Amino acid sequence: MFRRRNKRRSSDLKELAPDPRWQPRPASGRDRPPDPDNRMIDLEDVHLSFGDNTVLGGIWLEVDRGETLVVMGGSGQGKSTILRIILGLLEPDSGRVYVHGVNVSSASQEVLDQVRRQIGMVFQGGALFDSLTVGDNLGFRLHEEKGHDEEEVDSLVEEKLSFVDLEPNVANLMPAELSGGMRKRVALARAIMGSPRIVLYDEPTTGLDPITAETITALINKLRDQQSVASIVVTHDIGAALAVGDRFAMLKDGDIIFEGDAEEVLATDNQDVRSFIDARMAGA
Amino acid sequence: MTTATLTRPIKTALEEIQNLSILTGRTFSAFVRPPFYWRDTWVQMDVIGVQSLVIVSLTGIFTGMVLALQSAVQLSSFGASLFVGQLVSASVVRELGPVLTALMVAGRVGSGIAAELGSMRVSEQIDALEAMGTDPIKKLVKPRVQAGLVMLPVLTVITDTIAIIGGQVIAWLTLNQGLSTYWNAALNGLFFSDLFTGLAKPFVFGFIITIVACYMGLRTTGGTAGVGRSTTQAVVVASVLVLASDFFLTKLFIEIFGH
Repeated sequence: MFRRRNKRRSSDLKELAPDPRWQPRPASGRDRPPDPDNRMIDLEDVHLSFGDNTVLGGIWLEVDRGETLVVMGGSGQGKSTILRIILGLLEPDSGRVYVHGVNVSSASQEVLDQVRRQIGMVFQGGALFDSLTVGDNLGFRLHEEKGHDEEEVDSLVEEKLSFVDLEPNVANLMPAELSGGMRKRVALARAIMGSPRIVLYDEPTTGLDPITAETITALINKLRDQQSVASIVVTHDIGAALAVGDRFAMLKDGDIIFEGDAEEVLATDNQDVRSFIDARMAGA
Repeated sequence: MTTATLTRPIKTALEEIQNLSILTGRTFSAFVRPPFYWRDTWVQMDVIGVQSLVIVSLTGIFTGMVLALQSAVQLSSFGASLFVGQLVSASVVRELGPVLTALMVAGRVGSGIAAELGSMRVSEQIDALEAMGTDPIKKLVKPRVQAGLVMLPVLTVITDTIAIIGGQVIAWLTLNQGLSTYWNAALNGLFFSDLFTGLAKPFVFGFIITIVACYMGLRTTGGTAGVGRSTTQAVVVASVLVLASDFFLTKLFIEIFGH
């Protein structure tokens, strides 16, 4: 539970060199050959079990720069687990997880920490630090990295709050004083503080009213369009999924049972996907 | 009953000991590896030390008063009421001060740490820390353990002093004993070994309380109900370990000092 990964000499950390074994494969549903410079995430045959319960039974996924992949599926299907594996919070039993060519499943702790600085994560409940103000939550990553003066941090906090359409004075509030929608927006602002190249979203619209959910999906698209970040959105909200997704993957019983774009999702005759979409549409 | 049913609790207990040992090792390793988070340690010294002052003061004064009251009755019947101060100071400095302070801090601080870290665990704040490349053991555990190591001995000295003063009040009220008589007896009853024992024990207790509370908090699962369970377990386990380690430390110090 409390194990950290092996140390590596600091000289190995100067640049995050891609793993020589990494061979990006063509993204499903696209004809163009893979471009290693644009490939941000590759999951290759990832397996994970908890005891006798197989959570992921050989997952293959890939995401390019400026692309949003939506992972759909019911509760307990392992959607959030995929995000945790990409962040290195969970280690797969087998398979490889590449973040811009760096194999995080076998990386040392220092390399993993460097990789994590390129990734922003929006947790389901926001996961804002209760004891810190919104401003300190946003500035946390920069304070940890050192080398940023207070003025620079304050200016970036204001910039990111403005990006998510929040007033600068929100920086002085405590997380407990925020509404659900504001918490999500602050969580998104915190995730993009270090200008990450990848942003992962865990159920970004769950528990929000339709109008606030629309605001969040608009921000996800704005981030992709303005900063070309690669995104993975895990959700069972089909409306939000269709609003943000470039490609879609459906997870069931630890396997990807469908992959395609929005048109293919809506036109598919895959019974599992159809019943998932119809049930969600009826629920909405 | 199958073999697996019989061995499961043993396996679980061994896993808990293993995980606690790994956490302890990583915490000590964090003592010498940056970043050090001194500001967090300072804040925790306030939470563990300064904010526990009232509770340990009350513990000290009533303990000293009860000790003096009980011993005054017994010692007077032998005509040995002059030794009340000696009995109070020796009992408090050697045993009651360190143990009672540790038990009160385990209840107040141990539960607080377990609840705070447990809430952070179930609300994914600890995952968020790791996701930003911050080691939760350096950021959360180390400052609390460092503060416990420093503040428990300080709180124990305060408890001891207040307990002896409480004893003096009772000696004056019930035996009409003068200030100098009581304090001479109290100070004459103390040896270097008593002071050493009285300061070494809280150092160990401070470590036990904080590391157990951090461990219980970090391993919390199961939402808010899980936080409640962790909080209770932190107090119970830390209290039992304080009492058990007190026995072994006492035995060790008797071996070392000969009394």
